[in-house]
Amino acid sequence: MKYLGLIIIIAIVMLIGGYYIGQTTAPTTITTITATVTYTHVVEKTITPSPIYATLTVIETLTVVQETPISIVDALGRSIVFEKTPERVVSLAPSITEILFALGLGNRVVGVTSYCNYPPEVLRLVEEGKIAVIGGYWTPDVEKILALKPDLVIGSSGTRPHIQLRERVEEVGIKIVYIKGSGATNIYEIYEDIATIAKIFGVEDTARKIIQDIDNEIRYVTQKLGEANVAKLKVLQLAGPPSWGLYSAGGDTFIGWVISTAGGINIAQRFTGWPQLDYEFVIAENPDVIIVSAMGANYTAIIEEIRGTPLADTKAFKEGRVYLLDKEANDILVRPGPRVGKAVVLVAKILYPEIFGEPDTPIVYRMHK
Amino acid sequence: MALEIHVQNVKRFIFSLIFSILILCLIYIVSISIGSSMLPIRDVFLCLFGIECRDISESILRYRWARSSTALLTGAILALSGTLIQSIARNPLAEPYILGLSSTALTALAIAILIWPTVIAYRYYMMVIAFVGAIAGYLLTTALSVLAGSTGYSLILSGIAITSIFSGLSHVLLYIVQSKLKSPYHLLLMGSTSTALIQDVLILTSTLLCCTFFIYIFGLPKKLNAYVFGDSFVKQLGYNPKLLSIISALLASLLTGTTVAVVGIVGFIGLAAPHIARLIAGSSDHRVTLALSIFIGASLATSADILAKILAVTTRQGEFPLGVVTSIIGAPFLAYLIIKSGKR
Repeated sequence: MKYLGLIIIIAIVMLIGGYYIGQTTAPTTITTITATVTYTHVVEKTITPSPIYATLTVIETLTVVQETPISIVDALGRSIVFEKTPERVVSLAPSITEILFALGLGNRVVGVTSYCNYPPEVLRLVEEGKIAVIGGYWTPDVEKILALKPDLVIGSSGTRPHIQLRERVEEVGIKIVYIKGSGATNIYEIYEDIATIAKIFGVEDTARKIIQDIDNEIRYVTQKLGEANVAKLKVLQLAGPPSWGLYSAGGDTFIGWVISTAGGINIAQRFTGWPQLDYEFVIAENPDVIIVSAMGANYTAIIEEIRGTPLADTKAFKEGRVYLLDKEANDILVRPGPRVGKAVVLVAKILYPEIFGEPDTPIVYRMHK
Repeated sequence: MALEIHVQNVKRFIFSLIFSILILCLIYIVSISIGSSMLPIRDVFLCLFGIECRDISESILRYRWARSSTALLTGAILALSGTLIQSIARNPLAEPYILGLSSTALTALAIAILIWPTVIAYRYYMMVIAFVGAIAGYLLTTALSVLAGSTGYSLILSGIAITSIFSGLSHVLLYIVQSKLKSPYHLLLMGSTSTALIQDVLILTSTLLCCTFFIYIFGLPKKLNAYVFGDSFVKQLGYNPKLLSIISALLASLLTGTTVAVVGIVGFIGLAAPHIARLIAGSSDHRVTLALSIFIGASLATSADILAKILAVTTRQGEFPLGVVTSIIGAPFLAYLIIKSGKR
């Protein structure tokens, strides 16, 4: 018993230490979209003839314009070359489907997930049998994907089941490209995603227009916020009712980015990824607004449930500022796609209705006191 | 000579009991003192003794109390249930979930969500459904075991069969649930105390007290001592071995079913706490180990909860499921005891 305490302490210290070492040495994904079409070749030659002591620099400029094949670097840092434009594309995420359709590539999409419901055209095409469903977002079915004979599969590098698909898809000679998707940490990585997909199909101009539109929506919000000069509100975002666990969005997620851009302070800012919080943390942070994904459950039931938890002690609940996002509103917030600008507007409306107007009621439910 | 050994054993039992209670109190105080809000420890105790209490520290303390107590009670209940199960199965590798409780609870929840998705907003309905599922799993296992001759061996095998059937079934159902809730299903029933409420503490306390009461009313510790050596020993003492195993299994399932419903699935404690209790007490007399394992299980779970809290704050990853952390805390301790007893 004498060394018991010591042994336990050593064990704990080693475990925690090991965790940190594992964290710091874990490989980080490199994200560079650097497929430069034009480049400058600089050659420096230093000539030092003996009588004249002078340095002469010769600059040779070399311009190469690359037509086909197109080469891109995906979110996993792999460089992928396309000899010809893909004709049959499978999308593994609703946000990817939205990007493809926004880029006007809908006619090339042959497979989507069961969650893909935007634009409404997708649902119609699925019903008509022109697009097949290849499973859920977390459960893509390899056989269904292969049966569609696609020449390109696009997945999200932030979703483990998508990464697990890689070898099985590549084995049969199908190209699979990963975009940041749900792993995007801010708007610029979503822009990169759109640009990467656009580049594969040579529709960069459309991508530029989409990005411009998103940028305008975001600028509209940030400008108005700047003019109004309001006090920032603390926000708690939850992925489901509290009984589901207090899953929120950390500071390095696009949802966290959306909240801070819309003028809020995400209380889960200092966490990374999609952390589970505890009530104590939430009470101590005392959020002004709580935004909950309703997951299709009854609205009043969720509010009643929250009333029974320590969340009822927060300022948000006391002032009746708990909002439930359902259906389209939730899709807009949780999808890192072309509607991300609308997500910023949506959150801004929830936080500052006096500036931006009330959010649309059927999809955003505000609790009654 | 025999009396001397007996006195020595009793001394050792009392010493280890007091020791483990002291350790538990210490761990519990630490657990109350720390949390993600970084409330100063001074404020905690000022508020605890009613000297000076701000609104916020009061609600934080209420939550901490609920959380620490839930962890403590979960550990105690699982350890007690584990001790019972290991005895009636006559197998030191048995654990509370071996009777098929966890997978049937999961299946019941999946079916409920498929039929009525709003159920996820009703915490208590979900608890009742999980509990009913767990008890149904126990009944199925027992029925199967009775058909197979109701021996300790058949009980384990039936449990494994039921667990396999329903874990397969629950995963199929949860695959479908995923498309309804649009959330990865692995979050369901992951043992976590981070959403503990005061009502949970009341549920767990009453279950623990009732079952402990019944265990002593039925004189189970003494009967189980005989049972471990074989059915014939139980019969010699005039008890019915089949009835004994059914009652013990029922109590164990009630205990485990409650924790599955309230907290979720927390591994390791039910398996390890009885062993640790036996190693510390130096005997496998159930009069000793049942009581001791309660305190050891409680200490294990509470310290695991402390580690979970520390990890949540320091790693920026958020809350870790309790079941993941329990083995980190408990396994080195168990390993140490094994080595020590091996040398003796």
